[in-house]
Amino acid sequence: MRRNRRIRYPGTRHGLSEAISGYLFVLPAALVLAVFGLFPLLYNLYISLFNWHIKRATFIGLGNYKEIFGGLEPFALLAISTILITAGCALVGKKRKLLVRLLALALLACGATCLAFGLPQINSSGDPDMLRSFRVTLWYSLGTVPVQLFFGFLVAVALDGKFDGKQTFRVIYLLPYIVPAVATAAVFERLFSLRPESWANQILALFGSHPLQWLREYKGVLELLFGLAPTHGVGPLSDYWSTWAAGPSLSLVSIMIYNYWVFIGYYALIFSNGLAAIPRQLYEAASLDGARSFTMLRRITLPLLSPTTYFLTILGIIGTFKSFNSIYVLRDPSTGGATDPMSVYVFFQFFHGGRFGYAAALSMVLLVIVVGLTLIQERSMGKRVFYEQ
Amino acid sequence: MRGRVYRYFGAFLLLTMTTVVALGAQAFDRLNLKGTVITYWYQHTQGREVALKKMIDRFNATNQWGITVKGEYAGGYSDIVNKMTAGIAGGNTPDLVVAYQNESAIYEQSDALVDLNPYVADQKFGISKDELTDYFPGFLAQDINPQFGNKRLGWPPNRSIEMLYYNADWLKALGIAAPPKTWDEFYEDAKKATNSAKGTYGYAISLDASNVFALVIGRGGDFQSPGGSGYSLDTPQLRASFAFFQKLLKDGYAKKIAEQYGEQTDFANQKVLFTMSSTSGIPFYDAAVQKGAKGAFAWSVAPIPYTTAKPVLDIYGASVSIVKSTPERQLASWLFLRWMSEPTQQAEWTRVSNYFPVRRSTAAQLGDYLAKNAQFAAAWKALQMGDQKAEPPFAGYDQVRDSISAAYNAVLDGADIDSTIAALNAKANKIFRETKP
Amino acid sequence: MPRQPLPTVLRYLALGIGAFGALLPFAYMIANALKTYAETVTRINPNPFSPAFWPAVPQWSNFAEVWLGDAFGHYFLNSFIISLATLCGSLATSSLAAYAFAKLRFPGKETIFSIFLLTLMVPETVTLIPNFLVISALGWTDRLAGLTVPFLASAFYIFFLRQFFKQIPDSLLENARMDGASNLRILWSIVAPIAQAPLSTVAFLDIASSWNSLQWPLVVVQTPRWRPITVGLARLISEEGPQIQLRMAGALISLAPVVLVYLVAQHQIVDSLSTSGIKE
Repeated sequence: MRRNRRIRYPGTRHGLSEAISGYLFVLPAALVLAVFGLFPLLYNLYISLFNWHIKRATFIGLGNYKEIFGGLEPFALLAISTILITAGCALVGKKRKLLVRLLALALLACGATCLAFGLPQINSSGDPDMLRSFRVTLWYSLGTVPVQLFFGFLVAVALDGKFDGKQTFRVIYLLPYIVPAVATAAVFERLFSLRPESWANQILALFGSHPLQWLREYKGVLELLFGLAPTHGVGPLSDYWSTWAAGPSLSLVSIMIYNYWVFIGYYALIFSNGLAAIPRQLYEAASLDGARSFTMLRRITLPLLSPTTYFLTILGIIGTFKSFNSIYVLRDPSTGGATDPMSVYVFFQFFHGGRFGYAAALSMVLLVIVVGLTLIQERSMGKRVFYEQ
Repeated sequence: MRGRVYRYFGAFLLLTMTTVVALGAQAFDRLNLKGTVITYWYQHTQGREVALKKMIDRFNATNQWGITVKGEYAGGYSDIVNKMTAGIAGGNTPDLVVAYQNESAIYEQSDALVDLNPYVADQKFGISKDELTDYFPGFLAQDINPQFGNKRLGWPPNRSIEMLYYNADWLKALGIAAPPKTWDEFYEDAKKATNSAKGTYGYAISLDASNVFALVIGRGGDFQSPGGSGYSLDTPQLRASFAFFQKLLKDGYAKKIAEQYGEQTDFANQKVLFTMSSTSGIPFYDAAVQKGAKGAFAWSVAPIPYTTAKPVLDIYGASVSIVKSTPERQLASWLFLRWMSEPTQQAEWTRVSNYFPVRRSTAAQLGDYLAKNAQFAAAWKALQMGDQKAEPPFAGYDQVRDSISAAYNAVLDGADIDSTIAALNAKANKIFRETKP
Repeated sequence: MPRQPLPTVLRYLALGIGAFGALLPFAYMIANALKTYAETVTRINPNPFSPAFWPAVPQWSNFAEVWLGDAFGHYFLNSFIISLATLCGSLATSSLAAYAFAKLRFPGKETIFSIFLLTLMVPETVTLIPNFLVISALGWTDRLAGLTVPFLASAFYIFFLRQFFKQIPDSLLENARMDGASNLRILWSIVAPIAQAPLSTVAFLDIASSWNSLQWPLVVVQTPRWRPITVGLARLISEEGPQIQLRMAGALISLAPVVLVYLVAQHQIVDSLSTSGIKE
C-alpha cells in the first residue's frame, strides 16, 4: 500500500515548512511594526538618557529617572514593594499550603508598607506632578474600563438576535465614536456648563443638589460627597495618601462620562463580534434541556465570550493608560492637573517645555507600568479564557 | 628701527580694521538673493489667509531682489509647535514660522532660530533709528529674550491687547458716566449691575493667565524678576488682584465663566456688564451683539482699571521667527518681514485681521477704518496714551500659565491667598529652572 | 442568543433609552450647525424640546460655506484614497499575522506576539517625532506613502483577529491541509469567509481611524496635494474665534462617509446564523 505522502509528521519537512510559513506570514506586519512601533520605543529609551533639547544633547545617564523618583531610596522602596506584592500574590492561591499562604500574606503586608512610605517620598523628593498624573491615569482607567465593559456587554446582548431596526440602533450607538472628538467635546463642554440650566446641573437638581462646577472642579468626588478633604501639614504620609482618599476630581469624572458616551458603542461592537461567534446550536440544545435565559447567559455566553472579554480588558487598560485625545479635548488648566493623565503630562513636557529627555524618561516609566499591568491581567485572566474547539 | 616696526604694525592694524569693518558692513550686501525661495508657516485661515496670500503674491511680484515667498497653512498655534518640533528634529523646517515668544524660546534651545538684531541694525537692509521710534516700544521689546543673551528671536507682524469690554447703554442706565478707572469704581459698578431677580451680574471672571497679567501690571507689578532671572509671582499686586476678585465673587457681583465663550454669551444677552478679553475678539462680540437675540446695544472697550499714573496695557501676539538656514534665505526672510511691517502693508493687514498694527503711523492710512469701528478706535486711543508690558518670554511659560489659572481658580473657591501664591511662585520658578536652556 | 429572545418590550426599552442618550448631543450638533454665529452665542437653551434650542431659521448655507470654503471635493478624495490604501494594507498584514499566531506553529511565536503587543503601549506623543524622522529620511513627507505606511499594521487588529481565528476548529483546517491546500489558500478560502464579522469590524475601525486622524497629517502634509479632510476642516476654524456653527457643520459633513461605509459593511457583520461550518 502506498504511504500517503500528505500525512503530517512533526519535526519533518512539513513542520519546517509550517514554521517558514509562520515567519513569512508575520513578516509584513513585523516590518511595519518594527519601524513605526519599536523604533520609536528604542529611540525614546535612547533619548531618556540625555538632557535633550530637540537636537542639542548632553549625556546624563539615569539623571532624568533620578529626577522623576527623587533618588535611589524612593525608587528602591518602590521596586521592593512591587516585588513583595507580586510574590505575595503569586503565592496566595487557594491550592497552596496554609504556611505558604501565611507567608504570602506577610509579603503582601510588607510590600504594602513599603509602598505606603515610598510614594510620599517620591512626592516630596521626586516629581509630584508625575505622581499626580499617575493617580489621574489610574482613576481614569478604573473609572472607565469596568463601566464600558459592563454597558458595552449589555448593549451587545440587547442588539443580539433578529429584530426590526437592529442595524439602525447599531449605527446610533457607533455614531459617538465616529464623530471627531473636537466636535463632540465642544458639545459636552456646553452640557457640563456651570450654569444652573445646563443638562448636568438640571439632572443634579432632580436629586435635590445645587449646581456644581463640573469641568472646573478640582476637588475630588469623595471630598465633595463625604468631606474627605486632603490634609495639609498633618504629616507626609497623611498629606499624601489623603489626596488618594479624595477620589477622582469632579472634572475628571465629567471627562469619564464623556468617554462613556464615546466608547460604549465601540465596546458593544467588539462584544457583538464575540457573541456572533457563539453557535446557535448551543442555545437551542440548552433551551431544549429547559435552561432559562439567565442560566444560559452564565453558563454559555460568558465563558464563550471570554476571549473577547479578555481582549477588551487588556486593550481597555492599555488604551486608557495611553489615552490622550479624548481627555485632552476637555482638560481644563484651572483644575491644576486634575485632568492631566500621564500622557498629557508627557505631551506638555515634550512640546511646552522642550524637555525631550525628561519626557522620554517619563514615557518609559509609563511603559513599564502598562507592561506590568498587562502582565498582571494576563496572569490572572489569561488562564480562564476559553477557546472553543 | 623701532619706528619702522610701529609704522608697519600700525598700517597692518589699520588694514585689518578696515577690512573687518568693510566685511561687516557688506556681509549682507554680498549675498545674491535672486531666485531665493522661502517658505512661511502660518496659522491664518479663511479671510485672513486669503488676504495674506494676496500680499505675498504682491511681494513676490514687486520686490527688487527676486525673492519668492511660499506661504503655507501649518495648523493652529499648538499644531505648528508640533510640526516645528518634528521639523527641527527631522531637518524639515520652513524659513519663517509664527511663534509665541515662549515657543520660539523652545526652538532656540536647539539653536534653531536667527537673532534678528544684526538685521535690524544693518545699514542697508535694516531699519533706521528714526523709523524704529514709529514702532510701539513695548511691541519691539517683547521679542528680546533674556534667557538667550537678549537675542531678538522674532518680529511682530501685529498685536492684540487685553481690555475691559463694557455695555455702554447699561452704564448710562445705571447713571455711570464712564467705564471704571479704579478698582473701587469697578467694584461699585459691578454691584450696581447685579440683580439676582433679573439674573444680571457685574463681571464674568476670566481665569486666563493673560488676564491675570493685565490685572497685575495695572497695579504696577510684573510676572518676571528684573533682568529675566526668573518668575516673581509672590507680589503684593498679585495678592491684591486675587483678593479683589475673591471678594467680588463672594459678594455675588461676579460669576465664573460658565462655559467656553460664556462671557460673550452673557454680554450679548445683556446679562453681564463687564468682561475682559483680547481685542481680537471685537469682531466676534460685534457680530453677537448686533445680531443677537436681545437686540443691539452700544458697547466699547476701555483699559482695565489701574493704580499707576497711566494705564499699563497687556499686549500679546505671536511673532514671526526666522529659522537658521543659508545666509541668502535668512536675509530674504528678513526682507519679507520688513516689508510686512511697512505702513501700507500694516494698514491692509489690520483691515482684514482686526489685529493691531505695530507702527503708530499706520493710523494715517486707517482713518475710515477707525471711523467705522468704534471699539477698535477706542482701543487704539488707549494704546496711544498708555504704557505696554509683555508676559515673560521664557521657555516653559505655557506650563506656568496653567499653574496661574489653577491658583486663581483655587483662590476663587476660597483657598488661602498667601499660601496659594507662595506655592505658585515656587512652582513657577521650579519650571523656570527645569526648562532653562 | 437564547431561543427565547429577550422580551421584546424590554429590549426596545433598553435600546431606546440608550439610543436617546447617544443621540442627544447630536441634537446639539445639528442645532448649532444650523444657527448663525450670533445665534450660537445668544440663543442657547439647553432643552431640545423647546423651540429656543433650535435656530430661528435653519442656516443650511453653513454646510455650503464649509464645503465651498475650500477644495473639499479634493480633500474628500484624498481622505478616501488614504483610508482605502491603509485599509488594504492593514487587513492584509493583520489577517496574515493573526492567522500565523492562531494556527501555525513556529518557534518564538509567543515572544514575537508579546513584542507586537509592546508597540500598543507606546503613546502617540512618543511616536510622533521618531516616525517623522523615518518618514523624512525616506523622503516621504507630503507623499501618500508618508500618510499610509506607518499605519499598515496594528497590533490591535492582530490581537483582535487572533482571538477569533483561535476559535476556529483545527479539524476544519486539517481537512483542507490533507487536500493539499497551502496556508495562504486556507486563509483565503476557509478562514476569511468564516471570519467575515471580525474582518468587517477591523475594516470599519480602521477606516474610522484613518478618516479622523488629524495630528499626523498636519505634521506630514505640506501642500494641499494630499491634504485630508480633517486638516481642511481645521482650517475653517478661525484661530481666534469660536465659530462653533462651522465646526459642527464640518463635523457632520465628515461624519457622513464613515456612516455610509458602516452601512455597507454591516451587511457583513451578521448574526451567528452565518456561522455555518463551525459545528455540526
